[in-house]
Amino acid sequence: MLKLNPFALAALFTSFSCLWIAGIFLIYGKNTLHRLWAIFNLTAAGWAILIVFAVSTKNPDRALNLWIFAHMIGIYVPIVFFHCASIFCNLKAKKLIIAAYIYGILHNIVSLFYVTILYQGVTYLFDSMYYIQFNKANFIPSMSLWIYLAFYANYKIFIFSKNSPNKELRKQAQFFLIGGIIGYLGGSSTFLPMLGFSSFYPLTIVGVAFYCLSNTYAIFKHSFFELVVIYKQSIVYSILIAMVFLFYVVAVLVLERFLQDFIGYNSLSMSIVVSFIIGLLFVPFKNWIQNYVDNAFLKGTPYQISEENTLLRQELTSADKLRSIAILASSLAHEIKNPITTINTFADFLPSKQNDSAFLNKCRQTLLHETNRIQQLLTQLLSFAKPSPPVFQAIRPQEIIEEILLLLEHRCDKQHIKIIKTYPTQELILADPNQLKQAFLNILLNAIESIPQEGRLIITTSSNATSYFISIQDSGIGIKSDELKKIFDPFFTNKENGTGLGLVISQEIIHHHNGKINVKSTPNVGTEFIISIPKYIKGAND
Amino acid sequence: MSQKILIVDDEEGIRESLKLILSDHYELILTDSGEGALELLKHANDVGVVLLDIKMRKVHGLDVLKEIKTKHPKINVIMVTGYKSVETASEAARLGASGYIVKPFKSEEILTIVEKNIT
Repeated sequence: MLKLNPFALAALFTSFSCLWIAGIFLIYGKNTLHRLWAIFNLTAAGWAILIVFAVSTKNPDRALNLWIFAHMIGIYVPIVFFHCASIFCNLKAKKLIIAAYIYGILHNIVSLFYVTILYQGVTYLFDSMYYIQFNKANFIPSMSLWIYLAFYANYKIFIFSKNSPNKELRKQAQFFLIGGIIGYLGGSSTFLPMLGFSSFYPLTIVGVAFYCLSNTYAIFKHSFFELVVIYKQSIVYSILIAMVFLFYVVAVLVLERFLQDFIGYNSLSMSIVVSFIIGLLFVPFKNWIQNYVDNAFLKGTPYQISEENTLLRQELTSADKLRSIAILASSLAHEIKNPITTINTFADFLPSKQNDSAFLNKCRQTLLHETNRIQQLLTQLLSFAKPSPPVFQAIRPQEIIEEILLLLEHRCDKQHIKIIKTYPTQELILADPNQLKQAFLNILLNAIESIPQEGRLIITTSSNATSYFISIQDSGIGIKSDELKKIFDPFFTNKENGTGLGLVISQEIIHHHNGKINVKSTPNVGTEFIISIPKYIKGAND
Repeated sequence: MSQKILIVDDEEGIRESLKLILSDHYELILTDSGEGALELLKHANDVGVVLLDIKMRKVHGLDVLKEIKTKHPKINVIMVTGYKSVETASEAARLGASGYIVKPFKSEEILTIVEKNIT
C-alpha cells in the first residue's frame, strides 16, 4: 500500500485528469488530431503516474529508475503537443516534427545507457520523497529542444488564435493556448527541485490538471478540435465536481504544509476544521457548479429545459393542429366557391330582372340558402379550429349517450327507428362531457341519416381491463369499401347537405381522449362505429 | 334544329346559376349526377354541349367525360370545376374536353364558351 504524500496525491490527480481527456478523445475521436491528442494526454498521464510511484517509494534506486522512466515518457509531451499544434494550425513543419521524434528516441537511449549525462541521482527532499537531480551542466543542451518545442508550439497557437479567419477556431485556439501555458508551467515546475531549488514544493503540478479542466470546458462548450461528444449531463456534473473537489483537497494539503512549516499545528484538529469547512461549502459549491454547467453547456437548468420541452411539445401539437386546419381551410375555400358562384350569378342578374317576381323569389330563396351553407361551413370549421380547452372529469359514457338520444328521440320516432340500448358496464372514463357529446352526436346523426326508412340503432357498451368500448351500429345503407377509407377525410360526404366535417371532429375529440375510433361497414346491411377510450382507474389517472 | 345543352352538377345552386345564364338563349336539360347524364344522353340525341362538373359526390366528372366521349364523340363537353389544377385540366383535355371553366365563373365566360362549342 502506497503512502501518498501531498505531491504524489497532486500527481495522481493530474494523471487521472489526463486520462479523462484521453478517454473522451479515444471514445469520441474521429480524426488523426483527436487520436494524437489522446496520445498526448496518455503521455502526460503516464509521466504523472510514474512520478506518483517515484516519490512514494522509500528505495532510492527504485525512485531513480522510476524518475528516469517518467522523464522518458515526459520527453514526448512537447513533441506530441507540437505535432498536434502543427495539425491544428496547419503548420508545414514535417521536418521539425520528425526531428522532434528522433530527439525523443535519442533522449530515451541516453536515459537508458548514459544516465549520468542527464542526471546526478536522487536526493531526499521535503522529508518525504526521493527527488531526481538533473546534471545541471547538461540541462540546457539536453533539454533545449524540449524547451524550444514547448515555446514554439504555444507561440504558433497564439498566432493562430489571432489570425484565423474562423471565429470558432480562434476560440478553440485560445483554449488550446491557455491550457498549454498553464499545463507547461505546472509540469515544468517539477523541474525546479531537480535543478537545486530544494525548498520549492512542486504542488504546482496540478497546473496540468487545470489544463485538463480548461480542455474539458473547451470540448463541451466549443467542440474543442471539432470533437462532438454526446454526453450525459449527470456525468459532466460528477466529473467536474470530482475534479474541483480533488483540487480543493490539494489546496487544503498545501495550506496544511504551509501551516506546518511556519506555525506548527495539531494535525488532527486542523483536519477536523478543514473537513468542517469542506462540509459547509460542499453543497452550495456543488449547486453552483451544477447551475454553471447547466447554463454553460445546456443553456438552462433541468427545470428550464423541462419547461422548454413542454412548450416545444405544445408547439408541436398546435403545429399538427395547424396542419389539419390548413387542410380544412383549403378544402373550405374550395367548398365555398360553389355558393360564391351562385351568389355572384344571381346578383349579376338582379338589375335586368328586377321586375320578374318569380326570379326575385327564386333569388331570395337561393341567396339565403347559399349564405346559410357558408355559415354552416364556417361554424363547423371554427368548432374544429378552436375547441374549448377540455375539462376532464370521471363520467359514465352511457349518460352522455342518453342525453344525446333525448335530443334525437323525435327524429328517430318520425323515421321509425328502433333504438336498442345495452349498458352492462357501469365503469367510468376520464373525459370532457361537452366534447364527447359532440363526438357521439356526429356519429349518431350519421347513423340515423344512413337509415332510409325504418330501421334499428343498436348501442352497446363493454369494457376490458384498460378500455371502455362504445359500439354504435345502424341498419343503414352502409359505406362502400373504397369510401370507408375516406370517411375521416375533411369534406368527404355522401349527404346532400353534409359538410363532411362531422366525423373529422369526432375523430379529433376521441384522439384527444387518447381513444380510438374504428368503423366496419357492409353496403345495404349497415355500419358499426366502435369507440374505445381508456378507463378511469382511480389513482392511476389522477 | 337548335341544339340542347345538358347541365350536370350535383350542386343545386350551380345548376340554377347556369340555368339563369343560359335559359334565355338555349334549351336546357338539367341533371344532378353523372349517371343521370349518361342515362339522358341515351335517349336525347339533340344535345350539342354538356357542361359537366368535375367534383361530384358519386361518379367523378372525368369518368363521366370519358364515357360521354366514347359513346357520343360528337358532343362537346365543357368541364366546370373549383380546382385550378394543371393536372386535371390537361387530363380533361386529353380525354377530349372542349373547354375548362373555373368557379366562380362570370356569365359572359359561360355564354362565350358555349357559343363557341355549339354546332
